[in-house]
Amino acid sequence: MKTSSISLRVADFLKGYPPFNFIEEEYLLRLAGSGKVKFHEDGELVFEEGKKRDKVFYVIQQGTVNMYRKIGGSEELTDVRVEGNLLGIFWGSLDEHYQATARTASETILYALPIDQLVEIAHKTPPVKAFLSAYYSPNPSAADVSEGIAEAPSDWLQRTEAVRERSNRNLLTAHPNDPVRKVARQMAPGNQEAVIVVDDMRCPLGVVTESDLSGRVASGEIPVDAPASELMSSPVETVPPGLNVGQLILRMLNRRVHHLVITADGSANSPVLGVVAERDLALLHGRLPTMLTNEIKVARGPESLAAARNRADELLLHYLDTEAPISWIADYIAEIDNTLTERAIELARQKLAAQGRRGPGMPFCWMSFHSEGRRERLLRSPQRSGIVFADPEEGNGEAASYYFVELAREVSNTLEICGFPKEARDLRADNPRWCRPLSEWKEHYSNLIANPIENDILRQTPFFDMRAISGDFQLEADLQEHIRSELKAQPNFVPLLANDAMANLPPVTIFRDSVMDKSGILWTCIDTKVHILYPLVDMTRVLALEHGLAETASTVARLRLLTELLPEHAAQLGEAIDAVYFGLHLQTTFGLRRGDDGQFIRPGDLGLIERERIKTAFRTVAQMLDYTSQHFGLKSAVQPA
Amino acid sequence: MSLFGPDDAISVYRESFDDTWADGTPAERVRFVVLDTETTGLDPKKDAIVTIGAVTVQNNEILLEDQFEALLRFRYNTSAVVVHGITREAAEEEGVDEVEALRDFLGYLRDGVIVGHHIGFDVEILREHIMRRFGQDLENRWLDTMELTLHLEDSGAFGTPPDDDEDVDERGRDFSLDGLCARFGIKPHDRHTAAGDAFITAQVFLKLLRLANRFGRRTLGTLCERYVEA
Repeated sequence: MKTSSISLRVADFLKGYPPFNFIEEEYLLRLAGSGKVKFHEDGELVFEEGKKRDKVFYVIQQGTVNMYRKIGGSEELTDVRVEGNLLGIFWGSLDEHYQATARTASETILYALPIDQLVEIAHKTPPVKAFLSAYYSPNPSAADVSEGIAEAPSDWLQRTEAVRERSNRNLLTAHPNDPVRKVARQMAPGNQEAVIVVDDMRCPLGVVTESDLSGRVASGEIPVDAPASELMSSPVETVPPGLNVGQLILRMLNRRVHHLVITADGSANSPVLGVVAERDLALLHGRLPTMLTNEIKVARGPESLAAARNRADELLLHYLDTEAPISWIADYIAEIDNTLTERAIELARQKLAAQGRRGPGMPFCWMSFHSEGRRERLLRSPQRSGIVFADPEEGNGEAASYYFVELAREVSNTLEICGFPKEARDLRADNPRWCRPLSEWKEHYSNLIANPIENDILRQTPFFDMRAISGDFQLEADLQEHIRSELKAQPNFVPLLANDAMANLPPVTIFRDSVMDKSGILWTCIDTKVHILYPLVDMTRVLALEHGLAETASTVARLRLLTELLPEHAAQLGEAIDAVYFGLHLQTTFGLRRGDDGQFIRPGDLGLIERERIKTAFRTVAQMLDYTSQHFGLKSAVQPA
Repeated sequence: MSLFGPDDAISVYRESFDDTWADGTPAERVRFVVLDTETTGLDPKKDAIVTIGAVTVQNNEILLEDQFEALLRFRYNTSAVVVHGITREAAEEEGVDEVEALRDFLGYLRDGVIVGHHIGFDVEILREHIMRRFGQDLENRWLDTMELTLHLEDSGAFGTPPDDDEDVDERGRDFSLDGLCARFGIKPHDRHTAAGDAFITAQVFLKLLRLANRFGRRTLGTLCERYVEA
């Protein structure tokens, strides 16, 4: 091959389709330059079932190819492949014969490319391998898929080297007895905005920041001769080395800190290796969610909170565009909304106080239910909240309830301004039914679990997706403990829930521009909730409750714990995790793009990868249904695929 | 291209004709070299070759492994710059000397049958420059896809030949490369680079070979037959 101008043209075409879009330019050019171009008229055989495989696979450049398989005595059409699809590859199969017959259904131009090269590339390029094993193999492997497409990493979130470099360069340390004056001098020369105070073993004791100096020293609160230990904030948040930008951001969001200290083993009892400041991360990547939480934390009223929350959606869109992992995005939104709710509660408390109304003095906990409870609320959906407060002394209950309902009303109004609608009869903390002392909440759950049918349990499932957002988390934990023991006492409850979880059956496949269900009926839309998310969320909840995992609300966290408990089903549960993330991603992307809830999607609006992944997700849902029904000895809802 | 050093490219070229294709050679055995050149103008004697792009077709397949591309240094910009977009300065920086380019080209071409759309001019200018540089004639047979298309049109490969006196569908008589691309549904990506045009022409040629086979033109001789307007 002399030069690569024609190869470049072929590579350009291939790049528009998976898995070629994952392949490095250099390999792709070599692959394109080693191929052949073939032309077929309508109705010609490309290859035949049972015949020995060629050393090439095909990519359709133009035209349509039908795939047939011999079933019984006749040949049945099993698939229709179009521009950009692959032919003649059966990843991971040792069978040296074609598994199907390929015949053109129009004039067709094919690229014939060497299979050896693709195999070699796949072993070097995980997403390529993942794609091939997911869509062109006899046994799709969940493990391979998960490291592949859905989690195609956003580059900057995955970076670790840059963080390491910055964190080491910025490391300044001081002794607790060093005078503040000396610490200030250390910080002066420039970029460094924090000094880590360490002990003789170089273990971190605290951190002194620029703002400590300007706020407390310059104001005269602390004299310049005072020891650093007096000025430092302590304890410090520590992390192990090697976290990437995405993980560091989540940690800062979660702990509400601006600095993370990197230590040898990640604990405060090992030597300091470096420090990462929010500002360092911002320098690596301009827009940071941590900045947003700062804005939320100081917001003076509902309007500025709403403005900040709108910016969170802009970031969300940006992250989706840069293909940040959806798991990360879901956590990010959950942290933002936690901070937002916390601030809304604080503002409400201030407002009531200004009116001369004081709290009843007992601890309380603000809780979320439903998708927010599961940390799966990416789009702003109706509020579902509750307040649990410590049991009041005799005669004090009414006043307490009154105060908390008032507080909740303020919070709920603020959240409404921030774009979280109120629904009339909904589960919300400003409804006295859902603003109760711990003992009444316990009663509620006992009743629910003891009398599921009377309580129309199918509509009560959000109660089992509960999460503490703000306040005294111990109250929520006590409630969870109560739920766990009630479930143990009522062994018939979970199977009943399982039965209800079977209500939503997934479609079988996407066919052209329609969705086909089990009975062969074609529908125009995919329902991301009913077809993918609800069945997975419901079945996961059932399995989690059955295994005593009541306190974990997130579907993915539940699936991860179940994987540990049921290692023999690890592969299937792993596929379910992928399907949940994929469903969320799909719903969020479409919802944000269209400004709705992303529930209904026309197959024609989907890209090639999305179509393939949806088919995979349908299969995963069907398998989960099947497993669940067998496990609970229910009448099998679906036939194995 | 030559294993024996640059000087041997010419003798490799010359020797390849010792045992070459005959009129009766079946089309699928022949090595066709689909090519296109961009030049500074239309006078084979005065104008310079700017680029050569070529790719092989054999056994009804385009062989991407067997392609050739060269950018040549040349002396003057002409108005053709606006068509191919290559300036003298660009060629000066990235190009190779004509001697080297043509030698490599002959080593690649060997006795391949040259194929192109309106290929006559490309063959002329290549012959002129090769003769000037090496005193060597361009001995290759050549096939004009335009002429093959007209033969096939006469045989009715594109439906009933339109009556000249009547208004005919524009596309019915559009046998330009763009017209053929439209007719065969081939996307004419980056036309007017030599390699781009050669690749597109090769795709058109694959389709023409199929049609020719169906209409009885199965040997080199019948494919290369000159077209004389009736």
